[in-house]
Amino acid sequence: MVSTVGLGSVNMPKLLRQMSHRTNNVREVLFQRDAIYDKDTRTQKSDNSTDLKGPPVNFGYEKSTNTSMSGSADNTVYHKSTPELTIGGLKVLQTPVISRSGILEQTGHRISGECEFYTPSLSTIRQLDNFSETTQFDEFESYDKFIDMERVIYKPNDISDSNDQTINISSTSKVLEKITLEEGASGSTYNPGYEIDRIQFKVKTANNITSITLNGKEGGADKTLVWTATDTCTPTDWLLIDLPVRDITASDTTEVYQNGTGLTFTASAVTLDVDKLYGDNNYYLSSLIIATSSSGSIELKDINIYKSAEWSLESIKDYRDEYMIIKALRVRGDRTSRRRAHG
Amino acid sequence: MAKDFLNVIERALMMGVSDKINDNSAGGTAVGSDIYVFGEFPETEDMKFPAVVVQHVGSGFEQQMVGQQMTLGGVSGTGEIYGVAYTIHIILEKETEITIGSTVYKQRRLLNWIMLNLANAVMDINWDDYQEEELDVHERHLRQWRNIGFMKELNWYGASADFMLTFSNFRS
Repeated sequence: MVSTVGLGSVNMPKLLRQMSHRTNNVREVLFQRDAIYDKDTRTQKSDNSTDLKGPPVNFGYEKSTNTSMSGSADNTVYHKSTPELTIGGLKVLQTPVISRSGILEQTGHRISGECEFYTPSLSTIRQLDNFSETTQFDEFESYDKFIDMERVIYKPNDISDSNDQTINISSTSKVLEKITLEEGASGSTYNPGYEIDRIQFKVKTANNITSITLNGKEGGADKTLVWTATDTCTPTDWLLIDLPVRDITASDTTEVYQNGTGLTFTASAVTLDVDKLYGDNNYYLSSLIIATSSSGSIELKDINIYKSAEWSLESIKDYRDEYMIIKALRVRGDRTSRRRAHG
Repeated sequence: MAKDFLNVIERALMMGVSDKINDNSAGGTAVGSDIYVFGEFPETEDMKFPAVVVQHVGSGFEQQMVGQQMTLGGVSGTGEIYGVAYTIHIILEKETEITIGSTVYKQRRLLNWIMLNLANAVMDINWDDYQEEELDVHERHLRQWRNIGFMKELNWYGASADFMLTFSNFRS
């Protein structure tokens, strides 16, 4: 429950809640900020023993490590490990929107877009789940991203104990549920996958989520994308999980935030290329499997397999305790027809 | 394979400049009065003053030898003389102060001191101390400091100079 502190004269959370019953322009977006890696620095001469005089030399570019260093001793470097932030469930009003604007440039056809987001005040956002608990979030910054569901491609039914759909997990297979996707646009049951970018669902169980697998067929052969929980993920209360499925390579990682703590998921098997799944009997998306550590009840709801729109925050107008207007640009739009044609 | 000369030189140049200009025993800044060396332009959150920014502005072939024959470290191979150009910037805030010996330097006095000592540093660098792979640097030239002045919008003093060097672009 959001506190009423600092709501100002415009109660944005209430306003958004009420508007969301009347317009789909009220969106629940995923807030994303890229990881901040260690800077490449040097504190010693090339003999690796003689200290350089003066401060560590900062070469200015990042390494691929994200390791905390205390920087306490003289001539040492400080870094606080800062993994990516991905926090879902942020309710905002998006208007006006230029969803796609195409420009033919030297490097090809660039699709961009532009919109404004109306959000609750920063003090309200900082009291929301995860935003209030992580020490990494202070405020919105330019180049932060809002990831929106541009179109939900598949929406399997909820699996919920209140909806008599609680599933008992087989203790041998540990596989909870195989969700058969709905019919494809063509009317066939061979569901195309080239439109999808991400999977999102809410889950609640007393067991650990061990992996999330998206399966498909390419040329008749089984292909798979497996996100394995590297950190222990036990969603005893509703947990929103949102994972990318496009252009993933093995050992890529992504974060799922639970109570302000990032839980790492690692791509452990990647043979599935969703762009190639154009939807016939040899190229289709077949199933989503959410595996847990042992048998027991589990609830799943708001399962969305969707095409995302990535909005990069450009300018932020902060009306103090009232609301914020955030101008955002869409810089990675692409043409779905080309995905289907070129794979 | 060619070595990663451009990165090795840029890193050695930055290390060498920082090590020399901050060397108190050799007439550099006092302990705790550091001059910070950055590559390209630092993020604003990283910026500390006085700042020296090493900006790589160009590079390319300088001279070819007959047959492209070259040796490095007793190993024969092919190569050319390669040139690389940097613009080196000095930036300090109006309130920046550095202790040299026992005297506090600020503003134009500090800028003058850094310009000369930076020029000395780039000419005196012993590449052996800072190279992370073997280098063969032939010449180095620091051209005159220019754009020496004060930016009133930012309250910054600054100066820039072009610096170029040539090295053996050796590959075996």
